[in-house]
Amino acid sequence: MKNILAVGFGGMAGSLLRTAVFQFAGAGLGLWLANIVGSFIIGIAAARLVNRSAGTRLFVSTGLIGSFTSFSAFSADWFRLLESSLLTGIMYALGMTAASIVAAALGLLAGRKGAVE
Amino acid sequence: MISIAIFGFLGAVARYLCYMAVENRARQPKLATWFVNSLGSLIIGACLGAGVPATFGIFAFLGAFTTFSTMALDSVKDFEDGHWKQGIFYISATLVSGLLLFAAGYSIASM
Repeated sequence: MKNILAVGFGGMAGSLLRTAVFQFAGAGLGLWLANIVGSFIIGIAAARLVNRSAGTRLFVSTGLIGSFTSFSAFSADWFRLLESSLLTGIMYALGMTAASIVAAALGLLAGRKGAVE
Repeated sequence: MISIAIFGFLGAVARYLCYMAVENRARQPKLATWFVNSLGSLIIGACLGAGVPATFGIFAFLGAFTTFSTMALDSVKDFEDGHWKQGIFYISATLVSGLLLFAAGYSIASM
């Protein structure tokens, strides 16, 4: 039950933050920002929260960051772009995926470096 | 605002319950992430196809239910372990099934 509440309240915070980013940057650019920044932070969290309690990790990684980033909106945007242009759609999907993977890798490296120093 | 908070809470909890359900059977969290992202894409496709207004709570629910960061991190772990094929397969499978299920949901609901 405690774990479920940790995930839930994290998800609440992450969803509100994503909505704020969307309002600030617009839905299209907002999704890029949320997914890239979220992937970077989940990398840091994976490196830094290893020894923390399950509740902390569930709140931050599964709840907050997991909900801050979104895949359903990505599928929707990708589909719309593909309808207008095959090349734009494919570049969009590969671009966002590659950028998020690089961001997660950099976050993981940054988190590990910080933990050693 | 309150609706986003409540549905974001529920979406994240539903995702967590999917992780639990899958991890209890086999230690394969990527399968659970693939599942929530695919199911979420199908449902958002159906909602958009049916013309559900953007302010409805289902969109906040799906935003939290699906995740991009976990997918990115899990693929990085695969690459780090030298499992290049596995990581690329995981990413490709998620992208393709998300798109196809979105299209399926969209076209069925807008018929």
